[in-house]
Amino acid sequence: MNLTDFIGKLNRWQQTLAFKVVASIVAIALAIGVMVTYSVRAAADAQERQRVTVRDFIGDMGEEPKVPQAGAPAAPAGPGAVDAAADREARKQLVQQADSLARFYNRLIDRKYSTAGFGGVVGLTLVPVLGAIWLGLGLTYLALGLLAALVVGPMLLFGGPSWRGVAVFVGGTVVLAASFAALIQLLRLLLSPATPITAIARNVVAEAVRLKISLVFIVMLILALALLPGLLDEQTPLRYRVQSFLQYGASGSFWITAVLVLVLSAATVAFEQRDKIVWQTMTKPVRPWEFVVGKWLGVVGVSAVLLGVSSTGVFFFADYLRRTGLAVEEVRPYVPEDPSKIATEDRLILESQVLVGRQSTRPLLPKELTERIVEAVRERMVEQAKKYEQSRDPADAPDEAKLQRQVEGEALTAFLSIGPSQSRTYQFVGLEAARTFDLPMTLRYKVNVGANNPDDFHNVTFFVPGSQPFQRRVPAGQSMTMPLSTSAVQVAQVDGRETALLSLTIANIYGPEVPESAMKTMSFPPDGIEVSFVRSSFEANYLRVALVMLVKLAFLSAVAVTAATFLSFPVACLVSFGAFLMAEGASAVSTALDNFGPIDGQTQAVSYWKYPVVWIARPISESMKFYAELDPTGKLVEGRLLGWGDVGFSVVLLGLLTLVLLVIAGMIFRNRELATYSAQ
Amino acid sequence: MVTPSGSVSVAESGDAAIGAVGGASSGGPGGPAVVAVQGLSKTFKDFWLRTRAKAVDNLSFTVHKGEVFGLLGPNGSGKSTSIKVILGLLKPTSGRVAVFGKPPSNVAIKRRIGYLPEESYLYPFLNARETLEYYAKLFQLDRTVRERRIDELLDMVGLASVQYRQVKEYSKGMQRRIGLAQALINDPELLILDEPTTGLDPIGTRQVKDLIIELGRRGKSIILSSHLLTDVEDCVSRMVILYGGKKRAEGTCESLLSVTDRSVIESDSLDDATVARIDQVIRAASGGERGVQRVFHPRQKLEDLFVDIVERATRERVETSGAKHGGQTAEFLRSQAAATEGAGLLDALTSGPAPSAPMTEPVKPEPALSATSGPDADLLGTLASEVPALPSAPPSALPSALKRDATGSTGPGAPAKPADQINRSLLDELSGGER
Repeated sequence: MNLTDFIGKLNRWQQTLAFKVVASIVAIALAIGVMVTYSVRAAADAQERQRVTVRDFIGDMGEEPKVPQAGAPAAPAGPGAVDAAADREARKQLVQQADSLARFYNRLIDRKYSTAGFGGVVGLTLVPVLGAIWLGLGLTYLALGLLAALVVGPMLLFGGPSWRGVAVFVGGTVVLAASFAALIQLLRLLLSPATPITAIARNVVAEAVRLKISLVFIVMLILALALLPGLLDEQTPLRYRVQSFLQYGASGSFWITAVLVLVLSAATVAFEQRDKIVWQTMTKPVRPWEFVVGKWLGVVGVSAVLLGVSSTGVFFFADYLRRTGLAVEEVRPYVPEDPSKIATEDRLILESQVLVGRQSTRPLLPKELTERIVEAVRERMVEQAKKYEQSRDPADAPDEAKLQRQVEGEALTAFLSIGPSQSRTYQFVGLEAARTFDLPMTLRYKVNVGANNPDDFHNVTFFVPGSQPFQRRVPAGQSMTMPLSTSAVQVAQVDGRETALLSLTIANIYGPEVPESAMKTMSFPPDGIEVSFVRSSFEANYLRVALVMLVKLAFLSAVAVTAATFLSFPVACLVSFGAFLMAEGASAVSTALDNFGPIDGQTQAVSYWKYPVVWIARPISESMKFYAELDPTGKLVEGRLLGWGDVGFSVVLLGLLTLVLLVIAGMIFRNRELATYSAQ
Repeated sequence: MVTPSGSVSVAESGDAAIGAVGGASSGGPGGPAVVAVQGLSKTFKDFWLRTRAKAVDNLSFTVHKGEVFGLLGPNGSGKSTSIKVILGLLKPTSGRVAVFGKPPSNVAIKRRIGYLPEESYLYPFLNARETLEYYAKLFQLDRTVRERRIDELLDMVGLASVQYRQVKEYSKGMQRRIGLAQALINDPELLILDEPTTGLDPIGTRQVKDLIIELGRRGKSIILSSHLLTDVEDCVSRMVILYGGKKRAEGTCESLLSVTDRSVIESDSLDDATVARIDQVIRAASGGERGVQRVFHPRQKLEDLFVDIVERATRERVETSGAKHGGQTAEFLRSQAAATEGAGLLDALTSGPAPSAPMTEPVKPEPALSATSGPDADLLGTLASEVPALPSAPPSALPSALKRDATGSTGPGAPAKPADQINRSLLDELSGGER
């Protein structure tokens, strides 16, 4: 018996029921053993667990409260208040604030000793293992695992730090490739019913796995993901490392998968027509729409597998980084160098701003300001009309939308600017959920001062309800963050509606040593000040992000499939890539078009050739803006919430667009003559 | 004509001899129309909508149930275009086409059709088994039926041993075989074969022709398009001959191919004296107007020699990585199998006499002399009385459909006139004189 026959025999053996049952029992027993061992060890560690109480922050209510880390709001003074009632109110708010912080820190500590996470990892590892066994891949995977262990093991045990990186790369590649193979098998199983749609879809899966054109992307994705952890700079703060990994991992895998989806969708439809294979398919009882849907479903299945593998890989490695990575000023994960601190700033920002799903809100424009904007637009329209009547110059033609944008911009700039020795109060509404979740909120702000010289530092003074005023010295033009307690949120009436509101007063105060001539106005850019609060866990946010990415890929597949029903492969690719880039960049194009007017602002010269560009680009960019603004990976990296509303919106809208495209593709396919003139 | 060979047979050109094509013409023109083409024209245009080619011009013909119908013509004569219109792959410029009484775009009728294109267009990344599985699923065959049919078809086309190799690794002939298997996976009522023997070795060619005859005998309707005239001649019961997209001739094989002013008598080897006596008898009977024109010993056909060699090698278990000598016709394509599938599929779909014997079973030879009739019957009777008692024809190891007479005609259903004696003027003219 030669080696091929032997492997073939083994392959048939691993597909027998007896093998699957025995292998499953062994795998489950191993998982239980690992879990029990880990739990016993974790329980021993938990003996040393420390808890944080309210007293850790405010002492005996007579002392100055302990500030856990730089940047936290200063606790208000306790006793000594003039009025007793006010004193009681102040104490109450103080206790609430301290309690909120204590619970947050205790959650951090619990995470450190939690076995639930490890249990989840074991469980999630066991599922694909069992899946592989029942998909008839048990022995194959065992052999792969042993081979990987033989290669990776010595590197980890005897190699230096550089070998460790290679080991992670090799191990990661094997795990990702094995996961991919198992999920593809599962997909094939799901597509096994004997119907035209599933048969065609299953064929596309086989095509994707076996054809070089798609295999290149699959291998590229797996290698890139495995290589990525090794490229992270361990000297940078942990939060940036995690963000970089999420950025390149999630965003990169989406783009690679998107390119594969476009190429595979166009190839599977166009090549089948070019190579005349479609003749044999369409002379079977297959309706044109079934063919189109089958092709689309197959590509979506493959993209779901790729997305599943890459997302799971990115998620677990991000979680691994979170648990094992050292934040700045930590001696061990979750253990600061400074014993007086509960957590370092790096760790705090990672846990409360990055690996979460935050919702943010910007300052509410005062009602009188919006009224003034309307009035100003009306006045300028009248002025512009008069000017146009006199000049009859197209450059002077009144454009209400343009004027509206101009006036709004000017009003917002003024609203977000604070002169020297002045202050302004900004109201942030809709913070009900922040009170419910009860985790510290985050104020993100960026101060522009003059030319934003990087060496310039500026004093910004904050007045937060329930806290003493505090001042921070910040570099100009750089985004800064600051935690805020939810106890500062109050219920108030705004425009006749009750809402949870935060009134934040910011002052531009200079010390007496600064001469008046040196005082400058500071301002926030339109998106330069916002309050965010945790609305969802990282895990749930990630799940929604992956769902939206899948919906986007399904839409892109429909675009390419539709294009390939009547275009050759290169042209279909060109069209689909154009649509993809246009959709992804719709927001940027829309903004750029504002400055791409046919009329030059300086010389007032009219470039007539720009009119058709604007007429074509404007409706397209506006219609696809929603796609670009979903920005799932951007939100994931910044820890911003991608709510179920966004998911539902994308599913409905992109789903409808996908349906329309598939209907068009089906109609084109039905009316096409699939055969050609033989004597051509 | 007298041929001194091992046995005596008399083949008379005319109705009696052609009438023996029982299997292939069981339905005949009298059955219901399976395909009806009326005034079909197809014009291809270029990008600027200028006429590039008129591939089919006012073509009309009808294929009846149970008929093996030939579409003949040289390259570019409109055969494949007509087939593609019948299959709905092209739309007619004018005229009407009905398949099972429905337009070709009707998806339901495609359940009843099997199609083999002029080349095998297969997914290169699938293996033979996966290919058949894919097409079987398009017909929504349940797993049990699917698996059995795939096994039988793979065995039939001789690819069972290489079924897990990707199709792209197959030779052209092997790809042709898998193409034929996919055309049969649904046990079609109407089988459309476009140049089915292209790329096949002689054994494969013989098997395909054997299969066509067998399926025709089972009552299947078959459209066979080819420019290989022997393929068509051996199998079809009726044909149209196309040239330049137009129909040039239509009719049964006998009506188009018969040479009524010639007779062939085949016997064991005869000495010159006997031949002279026969000549005398013929001259006496015809008043000196007729006589023996040519006496020769028939040669074994190269195809027969080739098949013998391969069969011998197979018996000796000589290793090959290519296609094996195919097995017998797939069980499900035979009537007994249809019953065992529970659906009685084949019997239900076929009409007319369907012999229960498998294709490999020798068919009882028709008494050659009794088959003759007409004005020459007396002459043959005289000959029969003057020669010694003749042994009956020995049973052949070959399938009956493949059993050939010394002249190379195929089985009882083929015209018995020697191939080189057939008036081929029309065919030769259309095919450029090539054989």
